[in-house]
Amino acid sequence: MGLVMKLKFTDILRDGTLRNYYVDGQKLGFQFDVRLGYYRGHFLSVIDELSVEVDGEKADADDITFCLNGKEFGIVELKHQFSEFWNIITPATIKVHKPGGLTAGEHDVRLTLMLHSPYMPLPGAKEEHSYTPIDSCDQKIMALAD
Amino acid sequence: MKLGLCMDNFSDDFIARRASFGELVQRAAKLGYRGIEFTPAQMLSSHPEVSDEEVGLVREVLGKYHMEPFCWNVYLDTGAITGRELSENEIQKTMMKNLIYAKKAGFSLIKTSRDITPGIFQKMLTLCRDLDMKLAVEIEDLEPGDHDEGDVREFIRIIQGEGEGRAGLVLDMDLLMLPAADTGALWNMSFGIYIRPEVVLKNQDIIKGAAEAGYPGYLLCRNGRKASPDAQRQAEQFVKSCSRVLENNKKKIERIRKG
Repeated sequence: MGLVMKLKFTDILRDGTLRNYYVDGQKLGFQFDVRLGYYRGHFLSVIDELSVEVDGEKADADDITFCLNGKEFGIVELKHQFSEFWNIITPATIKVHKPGGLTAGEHDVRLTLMLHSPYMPLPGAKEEHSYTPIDSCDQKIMALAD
Repeated sequence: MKLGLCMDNFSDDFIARRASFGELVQRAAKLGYRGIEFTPAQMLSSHPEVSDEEVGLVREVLGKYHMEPFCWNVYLDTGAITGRELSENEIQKTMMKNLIYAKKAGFSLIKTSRDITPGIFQKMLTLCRDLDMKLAVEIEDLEPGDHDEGDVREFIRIIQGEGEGRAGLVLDMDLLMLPAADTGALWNMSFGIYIRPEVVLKNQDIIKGAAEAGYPGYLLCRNGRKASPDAQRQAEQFVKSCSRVLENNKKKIERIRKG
């Protein structure tokens, strides 16, 4: 890959937010908060890749839900969300469906979050509609909060 | 000539929540800046459908610290829709919304990139007149001779014709590859000039040239990387360096301006 922008002003994976989530008393998965690694906000449609790996186990894309502004989106929906804006200050919550959740203690969380800068055409690109990639990935040992 | 600050110079502190917008404006005022460039896509939580409450807060903060709301910076996210570019109609709607938001927040100028195209730029002038707003396009990557060619020539034709006094340029001097002598023609159609804080002295001929030409607009401190852990010192140094250049050349500038 050529030019990739990486502007990390703050931790993308947010400390203290990894926890299991419950539905009707059943532990159905885990969630954590993320911030955008850039200097301004973006529409969700510029997210090109989002994946989650915990302790070496990669979550299936269908099991991941991106939650923002009181709404929930599947990964495949994101590229169509060109009116849903992710503010630079506001954390989004990523939920991963995993019946039984995570065990207590620390976990190695790896987030792949690649976007493109929608006002910055990729220099030298031969294809139309090519924009400069933004790397908003992060990796951290996170302690389960519950 | 006035000194202004692009608020995204302070991205580090804003994004890490070490300082609020109000605290950053207060900081800019203390450093000696008279106006700011504001980027709603960074600093407004209600962006892109900006709320009256939030623009009211921006206006209130700027008034409190006697800071001029100089420039409302609009990003045209032409690549935000998967599979195609923004249409002309979508760009117009973005500009119209932002003209209204900027007006409500107390700004008199909005600026965007050359993605607006000369045709849309011209069409926006009617609304600008109705709202008593100014419109600028940022020029940053010209090479010698380019200002007579292509879309830049069209922007300049509009600015000097139908848009006179209402439309103009904002120049990024660090990326504008013109010899200093060629920039003179651009002063009288420019509302603002960006200079990177780390290279003020390298650009002192530009500052002197603008002053000699009686340029009444803003010299804007803008860090090309949008932020720096050293932003506070850089912003402080920018004021000192610009002031020193102007002071050291005061007599010459006055002599030239008197003709």
